[in-house]
Amino acid sequence: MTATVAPDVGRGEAVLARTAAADRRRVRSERAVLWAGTAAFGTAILLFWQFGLGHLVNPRYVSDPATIAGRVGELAAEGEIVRHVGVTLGEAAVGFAIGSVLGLASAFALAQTRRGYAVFEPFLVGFYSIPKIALAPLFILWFGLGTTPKIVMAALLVYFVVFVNTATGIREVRPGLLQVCRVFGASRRDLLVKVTLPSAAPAIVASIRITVTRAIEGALLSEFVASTQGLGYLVARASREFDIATVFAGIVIIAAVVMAANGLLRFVEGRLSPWHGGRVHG
Amino acid sequence: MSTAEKVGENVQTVAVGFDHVYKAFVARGRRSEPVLALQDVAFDVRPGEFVSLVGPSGCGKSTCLNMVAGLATPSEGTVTHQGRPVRGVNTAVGYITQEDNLLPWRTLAGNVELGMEMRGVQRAERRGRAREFIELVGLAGFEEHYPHELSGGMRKRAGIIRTLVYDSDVVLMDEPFGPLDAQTRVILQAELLKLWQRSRPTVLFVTHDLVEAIALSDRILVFTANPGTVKREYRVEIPRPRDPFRIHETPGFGELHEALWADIRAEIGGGAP
Amino acid sequence: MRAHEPTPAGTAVLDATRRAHHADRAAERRFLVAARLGIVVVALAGWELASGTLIRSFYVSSPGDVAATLVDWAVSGELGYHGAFTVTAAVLGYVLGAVAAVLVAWPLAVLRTVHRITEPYFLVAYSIPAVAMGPVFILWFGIGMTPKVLIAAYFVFFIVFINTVAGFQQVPTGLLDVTRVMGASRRDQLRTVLLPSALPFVLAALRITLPAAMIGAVTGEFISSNRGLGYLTRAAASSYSTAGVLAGVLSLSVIVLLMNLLLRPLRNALRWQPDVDVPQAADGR
Repeated sequence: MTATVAPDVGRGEAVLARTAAADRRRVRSERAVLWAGTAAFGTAILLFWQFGLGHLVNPRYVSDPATIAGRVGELAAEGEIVRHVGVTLGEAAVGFAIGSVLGLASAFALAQTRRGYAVFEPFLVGFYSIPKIALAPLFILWFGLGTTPKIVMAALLVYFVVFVNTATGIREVRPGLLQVCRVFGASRRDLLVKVTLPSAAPAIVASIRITVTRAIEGALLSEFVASTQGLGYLVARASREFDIATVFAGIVIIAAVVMAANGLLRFVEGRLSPWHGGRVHG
Repeated sequence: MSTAEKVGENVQTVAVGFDHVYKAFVARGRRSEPVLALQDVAFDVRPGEFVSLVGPSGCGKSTCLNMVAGLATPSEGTVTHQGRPVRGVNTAVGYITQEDNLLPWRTLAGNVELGMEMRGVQRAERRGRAREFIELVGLAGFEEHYPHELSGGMRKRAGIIRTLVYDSDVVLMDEPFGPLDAQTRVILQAELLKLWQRSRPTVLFVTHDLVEAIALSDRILVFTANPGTVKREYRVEIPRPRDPFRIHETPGFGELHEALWADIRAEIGGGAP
Repeated sequence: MRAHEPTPAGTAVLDATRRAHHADRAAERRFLVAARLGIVVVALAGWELASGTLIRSFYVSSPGDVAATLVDWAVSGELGYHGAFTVTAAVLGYVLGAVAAVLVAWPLAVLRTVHRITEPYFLVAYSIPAVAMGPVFILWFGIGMTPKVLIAAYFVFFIVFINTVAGFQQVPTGLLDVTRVMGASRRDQLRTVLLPSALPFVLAALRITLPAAMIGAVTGEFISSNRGLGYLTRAAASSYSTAGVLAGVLSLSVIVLLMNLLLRPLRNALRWQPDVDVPQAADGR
């Protein structure tokens, strides 16, 4: 009723070795294509902008990469750039700290009450719907032209995202986890510290990362409306003076700052929460 | 002769053939060493035969099915279908995968018609055949339901008839009843046997469940753990038609089950009980 | 499975449970309505009373003044005139941004290598806060409707783009494999698998980006404009009218709320898919 089989083992080794070699070749060539493609694409864009675009539209409107790079260099040499970046980043950082602390605190306060979230939900939706930029003039009326209105705007943008994500993270703790721990005899404090907080953590951490961009945006936005320093001021002034190269130089610097901040936070996030699965709202 | 004896006797026509097949692959995404999934797999399946592949998890049984379907290629050796080596995706076979893989945006009827649609079957004929099969497995009345509105057992039924409805000569089934509860499983086994008797396609069936393998198959191939290879072959002499509900009571069942279990236990490293 | 009729005792338990459940829900609803109304009344009354007594009304205005300003604007037709401008710019930008995003994302999602090559550049562009592009569009296109439409489109583009690409890329490989074995051509697969599978993601993005377009249009108006609700709000600020600023903020918020309500049916547009999670939401700005 049965038949036994004895396989050939030696050929297995050969197949393994061949597969490994083929895979290394494939990975290497794929990587080469990607690098070459990415570099070629970027170079093509820059070359076209430098030499081609000016023939299609008035060069006054689009400037060119060399001029823009020159402007970035000049701004850096004058030291002006450091001042503006410092101002904007400072406003964003303070606003970020205030906004995220308040967001966390109010979400946890609300989670202590049984129906708190249900009561406040419609108001939250309402506040969420306010285009925050429209509040910029109000903040200027209230706090003047200094850094305070920028900090408030940055904090506001951060606050809502952190608040909503934290509240959602807390409410989405799996009821099974809480039940099991209650059966173990956990106190309310235990539940908060050992279950709710860690299971909401990925959502909170992820929301904090995306709000760094929001904080910078908030600072820029209010600098556009009225200010005497900062990257937003730099771009807005250049734009009023029709100095397109400086406008683009400012945007390049802004993008670099945002990307650096993002990269830094991604790194920190990877260190802080090795487990993942946080969903980000907002 | 350095290679294994071929399993399977009196081979006149072969529906599916594995000729000393090896398969190694590198896990995607990670920079890791390649794994030898299959080693010197050799067996033939006669037309109309129902063959089960059993063995520990991760022994490459599913890879075997993927190679018959042409979704994977052997690193060495050949896989044949009706005597011709499989090259590229093999659209002549039917494949019932572990997940039901129903299109969520199509109704039950739409899903059952999908394969016929791809094969250019006329609309009227499609409708008729789909209805016939839907009735056969007791899903009449659910034609316009979407997959998320059906129960697990219903989705499995839909996945099976969706493939059987277009009469492939070879049907591959990869643990089709995996996540179902015990009762539903047996009910579906009985239904599968009923459907299979209609046109008697060749079936390659992957399963973990030894009782299921005995209830359904003509032949059972036991695979070794990593790397997977055919360790032993068992014929199931229980006469057809069989009744999966009372398969335990059939003479010969106990001995066969015990022998299979002993083989598997040796592979998963469970020593003496 | 066969269902059995419950016994009389069972029926009694069932009825009692149902009644208790209805009573609980009614009480819950009453509590919520009362609590919310209470908050609104206390906040408005507190604001009205504090204004001019505890705080200078120059800073906070008062509910009455804000309402009066709104009525003024409505009667003089300013509200309609400026509101129509902003909403038109937002809707045009929304359509432009969404269509452009889908048209760019679709081929990129299908051609994987091209997508991986261009991805870093999209990431760079995405890192530029949309606000920062405002001055550029104003410089290029003046102070009319065009720059507002384009800023709104820019706000919308990346959200729809990212969602559309994600939609195409999350297609389960199982579905692709199964249809391939069934004999589907690439075109068949696009029609039967790829497009329907990406659709919920695109719809979700479309649902959340109309408010983003609105914010884009207002941003444009704030930077430079002589029309629109953003302009109206800013003009009120320049004449130190807190009531005017608040009235502007209020009318913008109501429009955004209405837009959200209007697009809510998109949530249930697909019968086969209850709802989908959106990886990148737009609101909160």
